[in-house]
Amino acid sequence: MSSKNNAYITLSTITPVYSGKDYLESLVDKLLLLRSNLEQQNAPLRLVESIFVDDESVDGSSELLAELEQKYSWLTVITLSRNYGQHAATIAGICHAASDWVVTLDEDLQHEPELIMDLFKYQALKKLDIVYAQPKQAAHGNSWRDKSSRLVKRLIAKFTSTPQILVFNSFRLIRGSIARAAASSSISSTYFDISLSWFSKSYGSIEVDLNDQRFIEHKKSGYGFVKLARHARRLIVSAELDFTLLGLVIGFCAVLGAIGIASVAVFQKFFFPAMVSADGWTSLIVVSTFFAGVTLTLLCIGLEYLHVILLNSLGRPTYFTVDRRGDKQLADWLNSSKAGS
Amino acid sequence: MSLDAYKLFEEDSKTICIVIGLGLVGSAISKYLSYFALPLPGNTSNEDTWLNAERLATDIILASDYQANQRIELIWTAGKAGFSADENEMQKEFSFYKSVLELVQSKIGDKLNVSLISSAGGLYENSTFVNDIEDVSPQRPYALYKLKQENFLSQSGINSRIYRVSTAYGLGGKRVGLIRALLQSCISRQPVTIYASRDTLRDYIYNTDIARFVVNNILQNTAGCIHILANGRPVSIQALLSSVGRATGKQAVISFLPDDSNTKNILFHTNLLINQPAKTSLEEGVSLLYRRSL
Repeated sequence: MSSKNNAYITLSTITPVYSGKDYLESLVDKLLLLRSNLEQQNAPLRLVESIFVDDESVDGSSELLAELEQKYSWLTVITLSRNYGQHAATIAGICHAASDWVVTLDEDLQHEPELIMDLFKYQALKKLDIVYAQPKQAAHGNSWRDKSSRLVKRLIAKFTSTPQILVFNSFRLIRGSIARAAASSSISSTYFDISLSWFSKSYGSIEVDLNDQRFIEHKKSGYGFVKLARHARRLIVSAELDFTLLGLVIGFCAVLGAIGIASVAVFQKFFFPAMVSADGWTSLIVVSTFFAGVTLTLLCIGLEYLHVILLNSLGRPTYFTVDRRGDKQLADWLNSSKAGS
Repeated sequence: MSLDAYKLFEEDSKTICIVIGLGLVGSAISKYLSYFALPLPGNTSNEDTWLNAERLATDIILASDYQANQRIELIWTAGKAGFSADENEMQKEFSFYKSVLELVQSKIGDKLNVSLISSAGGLYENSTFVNDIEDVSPQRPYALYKLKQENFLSQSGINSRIYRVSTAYGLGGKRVGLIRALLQSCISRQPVTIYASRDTLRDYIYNTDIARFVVNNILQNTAGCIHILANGRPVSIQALLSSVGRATGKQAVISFLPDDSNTKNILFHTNLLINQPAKTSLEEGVSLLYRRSL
């Protein structure tokens, strides 16, 4: 429990905005309620700012955001010069936040602000740097979107040895320093959560009620097939595919196999010529296998070098340091009876 | 002279914070303070108050509402003269600063606390490696008068916290520091002249890190002390250029004109920086600054 003169642990929320006019006022009201509750409880945690990133919104959200910014001093609006997409907008918002913790949430009330404290409780329990919210049930009413999203994530997780892909969600609690480091390292083709994974493997997820009301009411998602495909492409480019090592192994085995078969064939030819049923066939197989193996091996070696260059350009760091000294104070308060009252 | 005034979010709300000067460091402090305090009307952007001590003192006293409040925190980050200022310019600034504080103290009395942003680069200019906070070696008028500001504050009886800040960088203020100039050069291809050599070492600290430390001390109402605020990880100009190149994907257009007075390394022993929160690395800070500048 903080004394009144101790510095608070600060929290910022980041919300990319594209077509959220119908929901923004309610969202801000709920954020205000959370902010007030934390003050009334004299919590060591305070919601100090909410950053809304106007990603060239299409439904008049800009004007509404301008009004809200005038009304609330703790609300900041950043306007992007054109539509850059949710990841870029999230990164822009995080770069402007200076708080100890950051929560990213969507514009359409799919992510209820009151659930933020659940994310914090889980963070305190497991001592994590990143907590993802997971839907208890399909957020889009068991639509093709949810099914296809899950399938793509499963495939990519399998081929990249990045199991955390399965829990990626735009409703996340992130330690501020890690969020900023990941945001500052990300380029246009980086999937932000992959960038986060370069800085911390201390992540977890909790199941909460997440419902895309916009989709359920209007059967309209913020993402069409093309956008989802682009999303998947960004994920694949940012994650590290494990094919090159597999390719190297296969190529090398093919070369060894070809040498082995050639040895057996030569031995047969000289010592058991009667066993050779068709001339030339074995040679063809051996030569094809050998050169395919060599080509595959060389190709995978080249890809490994490209991989290093790509990781460098994507901004993956050699190392990063973190300060977790402030966590105990928040954990003690969250575990006390006063938290959430 | 710009100032921002705030009232802290406390149960009894009797602490007023006033930031004088909204440049690189002042704007960051003001922004960070807004997380913990309610902004008050008291913002003056009137250049006439610069060097007009009575006018500024009046603005501060009004903003403080000292009779109704128990603690008035004044954060002095103001200064127009740069490293190469002459004696005359610095004397004017010092007289202005002294007059303002004397006038304010005469009204507010014991309730007044002052946080002064001073210059580690100036005060330790001739020191190469600083392992004792008292080991100051000012050379130029800028540094001598910064020391004079500190001494005046220490001897005034005002509860004071002095922050000797290493090379600050970040967004905010009219003056464009080296790192911002390099980033702008990458974008606009405008050439930048660097008055140091490639291997000159400097300790760069992000302005938000400065703000965090200063504001936390105010919130905790810590006792008067002198602090050195530096990153603890000095880098060469060459390394800085590499960081800028990586952040932007481009190279800055630069020319080197090493000036003897600027080529000395200034490094700080990490023992002087303990009990300070973790700082933003230069790589990250440059990237953040680049992205925030877009």
